[in-house]
Amino acid sequence: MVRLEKVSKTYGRGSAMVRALNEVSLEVAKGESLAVMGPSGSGKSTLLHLLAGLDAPSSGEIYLDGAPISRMSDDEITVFRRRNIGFVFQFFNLLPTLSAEENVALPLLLDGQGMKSARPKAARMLELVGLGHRRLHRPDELSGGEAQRVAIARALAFEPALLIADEPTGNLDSRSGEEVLSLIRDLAQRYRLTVVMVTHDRRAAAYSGRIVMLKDGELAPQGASALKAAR
Amino acid sequence: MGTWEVLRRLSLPYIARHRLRTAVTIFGVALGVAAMTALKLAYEPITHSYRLAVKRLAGRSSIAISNGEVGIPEDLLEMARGVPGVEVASASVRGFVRVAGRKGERLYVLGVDMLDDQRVRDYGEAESAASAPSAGGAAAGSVGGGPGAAAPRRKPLEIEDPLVFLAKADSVALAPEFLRDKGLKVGNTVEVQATGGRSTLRVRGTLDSTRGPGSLYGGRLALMDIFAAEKLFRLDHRFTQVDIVVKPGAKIAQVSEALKQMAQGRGVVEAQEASFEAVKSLLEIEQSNTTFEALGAVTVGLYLIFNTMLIAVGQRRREIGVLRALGMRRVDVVRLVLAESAALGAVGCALGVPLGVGLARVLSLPFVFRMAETRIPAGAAPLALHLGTVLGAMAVGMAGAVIAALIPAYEAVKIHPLEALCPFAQSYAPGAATDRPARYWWAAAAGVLIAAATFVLWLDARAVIGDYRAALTAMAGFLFGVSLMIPLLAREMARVAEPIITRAGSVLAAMANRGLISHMGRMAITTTVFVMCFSFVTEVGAAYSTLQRTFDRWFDSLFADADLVISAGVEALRPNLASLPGGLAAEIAKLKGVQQVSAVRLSKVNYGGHLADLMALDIRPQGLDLVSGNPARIAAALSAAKGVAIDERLAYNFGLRVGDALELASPRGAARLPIIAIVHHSENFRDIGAIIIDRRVYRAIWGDDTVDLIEPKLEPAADAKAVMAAIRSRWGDEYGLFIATVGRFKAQTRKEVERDLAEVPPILAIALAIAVMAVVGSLLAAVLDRIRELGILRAVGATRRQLTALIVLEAAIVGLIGGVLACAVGAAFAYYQFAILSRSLNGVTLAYHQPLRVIVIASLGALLLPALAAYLPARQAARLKVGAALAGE
Repeated sequence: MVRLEKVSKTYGRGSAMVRALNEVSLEVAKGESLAVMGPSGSGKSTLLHLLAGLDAPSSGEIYLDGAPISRMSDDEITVFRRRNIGFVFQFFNLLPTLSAEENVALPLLLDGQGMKSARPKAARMLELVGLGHRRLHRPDELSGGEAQRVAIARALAFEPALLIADEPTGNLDSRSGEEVLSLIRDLAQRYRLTVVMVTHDRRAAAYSGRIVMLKDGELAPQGASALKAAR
Repeated sequence: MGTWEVLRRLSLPYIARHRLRTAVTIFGVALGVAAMTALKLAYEPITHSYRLAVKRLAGRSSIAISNGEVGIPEDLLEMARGVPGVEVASASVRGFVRVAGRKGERLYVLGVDMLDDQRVRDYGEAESAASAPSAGGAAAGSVGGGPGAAAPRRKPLEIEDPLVFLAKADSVALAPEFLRDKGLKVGNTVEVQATGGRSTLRVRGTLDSTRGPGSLYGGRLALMDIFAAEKLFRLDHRFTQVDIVVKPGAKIAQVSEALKQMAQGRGVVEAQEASFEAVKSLLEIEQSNTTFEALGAVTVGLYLIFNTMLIAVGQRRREIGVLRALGMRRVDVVRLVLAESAALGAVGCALGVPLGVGLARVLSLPFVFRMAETRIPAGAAPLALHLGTVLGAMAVGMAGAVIAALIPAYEAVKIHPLEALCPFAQSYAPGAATDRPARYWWAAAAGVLIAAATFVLWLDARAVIGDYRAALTAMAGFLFGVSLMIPLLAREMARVAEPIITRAGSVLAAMANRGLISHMGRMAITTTVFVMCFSFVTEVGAAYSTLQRTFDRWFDSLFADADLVISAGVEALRPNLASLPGGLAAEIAKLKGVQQVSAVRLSKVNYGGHLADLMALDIRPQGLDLVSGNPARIAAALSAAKGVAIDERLAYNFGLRVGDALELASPRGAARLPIIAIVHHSENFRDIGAIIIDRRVYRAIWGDDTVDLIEPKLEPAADAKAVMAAIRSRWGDEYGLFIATVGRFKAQTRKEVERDLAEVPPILAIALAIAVMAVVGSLLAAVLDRIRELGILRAVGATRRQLTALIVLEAAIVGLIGGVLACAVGAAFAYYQFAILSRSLNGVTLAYHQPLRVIVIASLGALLLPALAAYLPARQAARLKVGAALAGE
């Protein structure tokens, strides 16, 4: 499903050059759930941005479902991301002027669908995350846990193949965090989603089937030790 | 770290990162400074030049006696010389002539007594071309050089042979530049068309066109002997003006009073400075009008600085928090913000001054041209950039920049050092945090009160406000009141539109509209500036239309029932010194193809110590532009010599009403004439007003059978060209006639009237540039303010094009709402100005009209211009780096 081949990312030039990722190769199978852990500055966010096509690698290739996203034009990758990748952020990143339902429908609307056809889908997604009764509320009327659940519903609006989560519990209390992680796990199983989650939280990582460690832009040896460490 | 170090290490890198926003801000300040500089530069030389011109023409004299086109009889000159306190009384004849065969070329003739006039004007030693002393005295002297011109580079007046110059009635001295321009030299002849018919003048001298009287009218001045000038203008022993030099020790006021007693209504006695004061006041009105707009430009420039600094503080909260955590004092933070703002202001000023010089040239040219056209010998004075002007503009720009940064500085001071630790510091921008709708309601309520109070003032403007400058201040108050209402009105309009836009199904339009509703604070000032600038478009449209309709109303009544217009002299409706014999009208009436002929005598009459217009007409009902009353009945009463009509301006100035009696000075003593009607005012607000009288009554009282306009009405089948050719061939040369069809003449005259609005296009351009700057500045700020929001959109799948569309849509919605409000505000403002204020302040009822097409054009422009202006901000939004945007960087 997801394949990274010797992906590197550098910032700056000459002596000021920083290598955020160094020839990282990684594969994530369809339906697999992967947690990426590592200390600050290890390259987690860079990896996530490259996976989502928000940034381009300096070298190497990234394939999603066989499609080489690193070679796509900006418009192509944008449309690809819209339809194939769901994104959950640490700070929810809901648009404050839109209702919960409109936020969920946003990817569909951006894809050219009218609100009339997008609304039932959005409503269904909100029901799925347990917020059918809050569909007309604006983000500032929702709690942190609710906002993150709306964000999850939005990420799944297009029923994407890949869900990327960037510290999804980083801004939540522990109870809401647990609820959100359970929800992601359940939905991943239900829709056979591939999940890549970046987290500092070992409990969050424990919800994933596999954990990889990043350090100084390189993947640390994988295996049971990492999973064990997380648990 | 000193202020300079702070600027260099912290501010410059930040400014360098935001080049576009910095450029827009600097350009906004530059535009404001340019507008101020331009005004100072454009008007100062004109005032100075005219004062100089008055002094050059007046010489040592301090009092002038004039009598409009009627002129001053010769005996009055002799009588004036006998008035106690009068040292010298010197007469002159002045007027325009047309240069034959040169379309539109005119000369201003100054005829003086060349043997005596040096006692009034500052003539020097005789200077002939051969450098020989002349017996002609002043004829060959340095004319009007004055003490300041003691070291001439070339002689103000060079005469080939002074004796021949005086002896020959066709002698004239002209500027070398004029001669060179026309391929002439001394000894050649010039054909001119004057009220006395066509004349051939021989050039027998040259005038220096850089100083002295020769410098007036842009070097188009012809110096002649007074008796030759009298002949040229067919003045029958009359002069245009008598200049009085008061004896040392005598009081000017007392001598003036004695001269008034002596003149007994045959001339208006005024201080020489009075004509300058009149022009000065005219200039001040013009300047006040444009200052009004210039202040708007400066305000917008300062708003851009305010906006930029507020965003800069918001974006650098963490940086400022870190600096505070590291020990930067609050006073240092204030210094940082103010220094940055002052630096932006300084660069804006440095660009604004040269921009202002260029703008001044654009502004002053039509103005100078108009001044010259209205007989003000201002000439095209060169623009002089004084250090004071530069420093003044810089001071306003810099001080304004510092003041504009006070609130951002206050916001910066409030930043807590702990914010350095917060990864996502709350960005502060106008309205970025929480929008408080209550403040719009409060602002609107205050606005309603201010606007209502101003409106009440306007209803009786003269009594309450006083003069035009105060009226402008009141107008500013009204606009300020309206501007306070705009954020609420715009917000409510967006709210009303929301369900419609949402139903339409465009998520981007809905988001743009909701962004506007929920963050009106961010766009409130921009929308206000935009409305104000575009309301100017609507107001200008109304001004043009009102001016044209007022002109049409006046013209159509003056030339009612006429097909041709014939006048003596250069052009009809121009000031003429002599008129046509009344018998000519009767002769023209006998021509084949002419059905009937009416005539008009235009002159001045002394009323209440002022020269009022006196129009003697062959009264017909359709020729009366009555304020109220039955035209047929009033025309009959006027024809029956039961009284006169006056225009509303005269009625207003002297508090006259129907039923009052006018006492007018005439050659046969005082004439007492009852007022039986009031007509609309004809031309401009500077006139004292007009009296309309039947021509037969005028002839009986004033004993004057001459006419200025002859208006033949042709037979239905008559060929106008043939009739005109017949008139031209029989009397054209003899009287130097101007002949035109009424239609063509109306079109020509209308164009000249429209020149009154010549300075409007450049000011309009500034207003629109300001509107664009405001939109660009605000949208750039909005893009930066919403960088995360835009990043989210990109992350969930919005393409660059969709992001561009979002920003453009937001601008278009501002434009749409702003356009609707601008049309309403502009139309209301125009109505108050032209329908209410002109009546209450000037006593004049203008034919107010707001053209629909201007409203449509303004609305379309308001919609499209912001959309175009949004291009750069939208491009910036589309280019944002999503990862960085999501990280809140």
